[in-house]
Amino acid sequence: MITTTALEAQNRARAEAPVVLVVTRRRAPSSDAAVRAVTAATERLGVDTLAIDVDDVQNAAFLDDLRVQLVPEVLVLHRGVVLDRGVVRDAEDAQAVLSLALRRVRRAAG
Amino acid sequence: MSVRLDERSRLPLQGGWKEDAPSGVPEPRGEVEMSHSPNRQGHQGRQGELLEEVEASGELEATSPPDSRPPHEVPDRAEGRDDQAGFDTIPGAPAAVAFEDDEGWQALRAQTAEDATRLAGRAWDNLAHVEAFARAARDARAVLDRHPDDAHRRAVAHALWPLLPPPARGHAFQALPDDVARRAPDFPLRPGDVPKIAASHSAFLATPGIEAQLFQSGAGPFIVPRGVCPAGATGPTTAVVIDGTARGGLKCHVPASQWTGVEGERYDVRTGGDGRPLLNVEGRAEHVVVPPEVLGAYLFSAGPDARGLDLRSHNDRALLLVWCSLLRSRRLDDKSVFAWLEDESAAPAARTRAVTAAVDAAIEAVAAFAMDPLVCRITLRPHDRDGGWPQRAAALLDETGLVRDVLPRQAPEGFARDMVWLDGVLGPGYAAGRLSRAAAGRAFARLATSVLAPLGVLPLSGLKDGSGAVVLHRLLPRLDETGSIAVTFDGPRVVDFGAGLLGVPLCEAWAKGRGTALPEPRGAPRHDVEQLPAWLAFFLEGVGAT
Repeated sequence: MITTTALEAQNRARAEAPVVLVVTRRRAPSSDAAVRAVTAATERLGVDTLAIDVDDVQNAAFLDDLRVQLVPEVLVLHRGVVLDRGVVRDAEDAQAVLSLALRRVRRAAG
Repeated sequence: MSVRLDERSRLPLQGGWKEDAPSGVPEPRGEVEMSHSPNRQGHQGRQGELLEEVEASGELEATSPPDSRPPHEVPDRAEGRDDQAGFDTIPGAPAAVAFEDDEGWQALRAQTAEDATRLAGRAWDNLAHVEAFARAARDARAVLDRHPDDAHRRAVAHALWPLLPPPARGHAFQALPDDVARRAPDFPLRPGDVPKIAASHSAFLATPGIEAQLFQSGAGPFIVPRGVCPAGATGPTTAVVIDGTARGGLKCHVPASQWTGVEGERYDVRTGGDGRPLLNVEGRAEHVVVPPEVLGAYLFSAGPDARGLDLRSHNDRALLLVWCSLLRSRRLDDKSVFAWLEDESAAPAARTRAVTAAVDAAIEAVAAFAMDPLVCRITLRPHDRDGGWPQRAAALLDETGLVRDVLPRQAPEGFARDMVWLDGVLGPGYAAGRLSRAAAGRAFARLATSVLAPLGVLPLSGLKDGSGAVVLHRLLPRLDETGSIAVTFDGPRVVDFGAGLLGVPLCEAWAKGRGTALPEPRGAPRHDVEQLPAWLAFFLEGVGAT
């Protein structure tokens, strides 16, 4: 998974291809677990994943705009719309959550 | 025990295989088969015969001596040979226990109900709630392992939820109505489920020149872009009320006091963000004049994520069924809202009340029957003279194995725990009972697009903050002086499940800092109001309501 900046995340969020953004914190076991779970799920689903550091001050405005309050949080973004956001328990749960959020996007993409 | 079960579980397969593989295998004896089970198929009789021979050889005894297993774990055939003849098949494992008959579930249900009653009068006692919750959560894990279906998981979640400390419960979380729950897991739609909404509820939208009727003096507030009057803006938008007509559009004012709370704050001339009037080329301040097409841009925008219900999805079918169930259960005067919506001859005032009730039912269908794991998380913070209860509660919850931590973005000093549990019980989706705030908003927007928009309640979804909030613009039919139907505007309202704002006026939401990140209407789908009556007929035909 690539750790990205707010600017890159904003650009990817507006793109035609959906992207999964994981808000993480360094050296936090729950963040590491979420990253592992989401990475495993998105690899199976063929969706790009980005991580963004919640404690990087350059990301603060972007995370404020998205009203991020908790870490880790997973956001599914597509064409500037937040399709879903929340927590995932494990890889299986992440796949179920992401599949549901991307159901129509994937169907439209054929 | 497991070895013996495994051994027995192989026996039916051996019998079936040996039938077709005569070498080295005792052939079944037809006369024995008939004497043991005269009315059964030969295959089953042969299995019983094979078992007799295996037992006689001592092989089974060697691996499975008689013991004192509970009766429900011991196949009846061990009780005596006469009983063997009564088997259709030889059980390889105990039959699955029905959920309602599961002793673990019965005990959990009884215990949680007793604890909830006991704690009802002790809302202040957070530790007692956590103790009861932790005890139930430990028992719940075993039940969930045995019964992984969504309906059973929902039942467990509904048993645990009342034991949460009251501040952690979020909003109400109800079980699906019985008539809907019975249709799990596919939630099929049947004729008569969805009301045959009378055309009169929707016909007023096809009125020609609807914008001219809406944009009358005193109407509003209407959402307009920030540039109309930057001083009164919240986020990318502000709101105006129409005062009259002017060259180039409609003369308006910005009633900023409604959301800033500053008494008398109102802008009649265009004012910049610095509070100074914006001057034209002649150096004079200009009135706030808005072209009708700008007023209509947000009013008729559906938002970038506009979609209706996808009835191929069991989640959307369940949502539609719950809405219909609520319509049946709610009464206005002498009949249900469901019946009012089907009443072609209802007076305009009654139709308006029925649609109001339908909107409330749609909000409740999402808000009360699905839960966000983050909303009902258990937040533990220390405070003066807490006696160490947050740490004690955290230790109890850690022992359950059901909860896990999330971290606050702005981490407070010292001990702080935010513990999520619901995602360990419920799967994602409306039918399963777990929706994030964004998913709840999208589900509501889909329902509103399909069944409320044709009644004059236009949803605008896809707010840029990912809150899942939906803005509802309501158009109302009204009898004018000539006795004909005119269309009026009720003002925008916000449904934000994450913030608990369920149908409040937009200005009130802005005052609380919510509903501000409205999406630009440019490029987004637009409600084609005049076509909505036809769309409603098409939708109802599709779901078999007509």
